[in-house]
This record gives sequence, structure tokens and C-alpha cells, in this order.
Amino acid sequence: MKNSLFIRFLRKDLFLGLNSNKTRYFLSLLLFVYLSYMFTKELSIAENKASSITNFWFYFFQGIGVYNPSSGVPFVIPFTWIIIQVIIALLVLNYPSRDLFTTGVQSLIRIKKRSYWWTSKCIWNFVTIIFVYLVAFICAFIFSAFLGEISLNFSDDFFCLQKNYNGSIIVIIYLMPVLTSIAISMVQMLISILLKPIYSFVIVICYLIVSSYYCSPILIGNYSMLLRSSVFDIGKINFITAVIVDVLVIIFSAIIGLFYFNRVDIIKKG
Amino acid sequence: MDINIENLTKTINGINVLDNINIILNSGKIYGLSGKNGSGKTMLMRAICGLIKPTSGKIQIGEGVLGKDFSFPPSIGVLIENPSFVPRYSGFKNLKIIASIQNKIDDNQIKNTIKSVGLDPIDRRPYRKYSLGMKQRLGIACAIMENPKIILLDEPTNALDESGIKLIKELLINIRDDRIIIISCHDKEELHYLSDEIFVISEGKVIDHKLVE
Repeated sequence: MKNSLFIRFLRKDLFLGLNSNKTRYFLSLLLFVYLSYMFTKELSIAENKASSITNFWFYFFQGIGVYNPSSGVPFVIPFTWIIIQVIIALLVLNYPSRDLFTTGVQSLIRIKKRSYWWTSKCIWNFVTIIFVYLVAFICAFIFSAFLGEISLNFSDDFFCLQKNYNGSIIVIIYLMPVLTSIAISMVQMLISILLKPIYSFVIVICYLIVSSYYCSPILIGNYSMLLRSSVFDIGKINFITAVIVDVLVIIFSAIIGLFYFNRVDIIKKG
Repeated sequence: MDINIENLTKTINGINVLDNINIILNSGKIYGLSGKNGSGKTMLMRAICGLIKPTSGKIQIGEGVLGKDFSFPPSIGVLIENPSFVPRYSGFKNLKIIASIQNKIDDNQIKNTIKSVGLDPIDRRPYRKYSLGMKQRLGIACAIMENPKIILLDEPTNALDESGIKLIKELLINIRDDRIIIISCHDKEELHYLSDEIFVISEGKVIDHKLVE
């Protein structure tokens, strides 16, 4: 009975949360279509006629290599990567706090447990992130199909990379951006409940820009830039470390949020 | 079922927004909370529905203590401050989404509740196009639709005209039998019209308790 109450509440959250993001998903679709088109153009210039789904995916989420401030080369913000992160940050921006002060009060008195509210928002967060990556995957799939190579193989020739890894690189390429986005968006959701959605957005974007400048395991934005993975000779981020840190960030954000939400007075912040 | 509030104090930023409140509320009555803006009426309602946690004291609802035996009252409907719904959905769809959580009532019951507050259940206009009075009526419908044992209505007469207030009065009288209904209002005349008993609140304290004849 209690489980079904939670399931019904979760269903409501997914329905309202995903519906409220329709425009932002459409924006993400436009962005990935544009990026796919740009990659296709670059391929034709390089006289490559086909490219796999994974190559498209890599193109979207490659970010930039490790920046060395002492090199004298000016730092260039990785705009493509930042725009993707901005769209993801917008997707998780305000549904939880808006829900809390609109229909959320009606929901809370009906589900009777604050922990249900927070848990449901965490699941909504996961689903929201997975959806945007699904949009990216579908775009990659369609464009690679047009080019006649529907496969998950990764060919590093086009990107001029050297692999330092013998195992399957595919897992890293697909897992790291998704897992890191979930971790960052969990922190963002926590800050939006602690402070305000707009603060959480600004903090996350600043953090990501700093992540693109400094390569450090503490700055987890680095984990979602594939070029910074140590599986390539230009990268420094160890896959196992990144997965462990991401998972810990997700778990701690969920626990801190639960702890906080169970105790907080629900009064609209001025 | 009774609500027994004992020595309830809530302190926010060093200020007692509720100060040693002791009241007993019984089923079958409509209680009014009177007081100026910022006197603590809404805070008291928030405390009763479990949205804020008391700094000291307790709220006993039936056999259980709020915050100890349950986080929220077992059966409650609320309209706190302004009604808030999803702007792009109709009134019916908004209530259906909320009702789907407990799954206690069907579409017909939702439609009947909407009718009972003087709205058209088949009105397809989105909520954002509702007038203030219509929004208020929908908020009241949301609070009463699942026949809760406790109904809290914060300023239910806001934006309602005379006929709207009369309709709400009749509605509350019809449903009060085995329920505790608490309403707050800063307009003394309207509160007298709607309530059986009135608690006057000032600076977080109950300073008067009157029976309405």
C-alpha cells in the first residue's frame, strides 16, 4: 500500500517534471542536431565518409584536453561542452523547488512522508539526465545511419588520439558523461533546495568553467570531458577514480538532501 | 477526533512566531483564526499540517503526536496562502493529478467537488487564465475533495464576492459534521459569518477565544 503510494507519487513527479522540460528537451535536440551536422561537415572535409554512433557521441562530449596555464597558450572555454552542461543544468533547475511551493504542499500532505518527496525528486533527476543523453544518442544514431555506419565501434583516427587502455573504451565513453552529469545535477538539486534554484545554477556553471580550466579530480566536471580521461595519452583522469567519486557524490547528495529535507520548515523563501 | 495543541512555540530567527499556544479543537466545528497580517495565523496552520516543526510543545491529533507518530496528519486537506497549481492544466486536470496520489476518489467525485465550489468541471481553460476568485475556489475544492477529517483554509474568502462567500459558508456547514474545519481571515465580519468559535491571535499568542452566536 505504502509502496504503491510512492509509485503513484513518483509517476506524478515524472509526468509533471518531464512535461515542464519539454522546451528544454527541444533545445537539447536542436543542439545535438547542430553538433551532429557540424561533425558530419568536419568528416566530409577530412574525406571520411562514415562515422559510428560512438564517434558522434565522442564529438559531443569530448570537451578539451588538459589545459596547462604555464604553456603561454591562451585558455579557450570549451563552448560546446559548456552549452551542453548549461542545458543539463537548466533541465534540473527549478522543478523540485517550484513543485515544493505549488502542488508540492498538496502532495506532501497526501504522501505523508518527506523522505518520499526527496527520493522521488532524486529519481526524477536521474531520469531527466538519462533522457537528455538519450536525445544525444538518438541524434548520433540517426546521423551515423545516414552516413551508413550504425555501430558502437570507436575509431580514434579521426580525433588523432592514442589509447592507453586495452579494455573496452566504449563503457568509459558512454558512462562518464552520464554518471558525472547525474552527480553534478544531484548537487545542483541539493543547493537549489538549500538556497534557491538560481544560486544553484550559477554555482554549478562557475564550477564547470573552473573544471575546464584546472584538471583535478576534485573538480568533477573534468570527468565528463572525454579528452581528459587517462585512457587517452593526453588525459589525466582515471576512470575508476572518476566512477568512485561520482557515485560518492550522488550518494552523499541524496543523504544530505534527505537529512535536510526531513528537518526543514517548509516556508517559501523570500 | 480532536486536535490538542499544548504549549506550542515556534521560533524563527530569534522571534517567537508562535508563542506558547494552547488550544483544543473538536470535530463538528468551524474554528476561525483572527488576527492582523503577520500575527501567526498562517504559521499555526503550517504547524498543524506538519509543514513547520515546533520549537517546543506538541500537537496531538487523535491518538498520535504530530512529528512523533506521523509527519503529517493522517487525514487533512489544506489551502495555505494562495492556491498554487500547474498553470497550463485545467482545474479538473490539476485536481486529478493531485488526487491520483492517494487514488481515493474517482473523476466523478472530483467533478462534483468542483461543482460544489461553483466552478464548471468541464471548463478546459488552463488554470493560468482563471480569475483570482476561480483560483480560490479551486484551492478550496482541492482541500475538501478527498473528504479529509481536518480542513485548513487560509484566507478562503480572498477574492470571493458576496455570493462566493455565502456558497463557501453553506459548503462548510454541510461538511463540518465529523470534521475539524479551521479557517483564517483578517476580515472580522466574514470570519464571524463563517465560524462557530474564534481564536484571536496577536504576535504569535492566542489572546482571546470567543463563541459566535
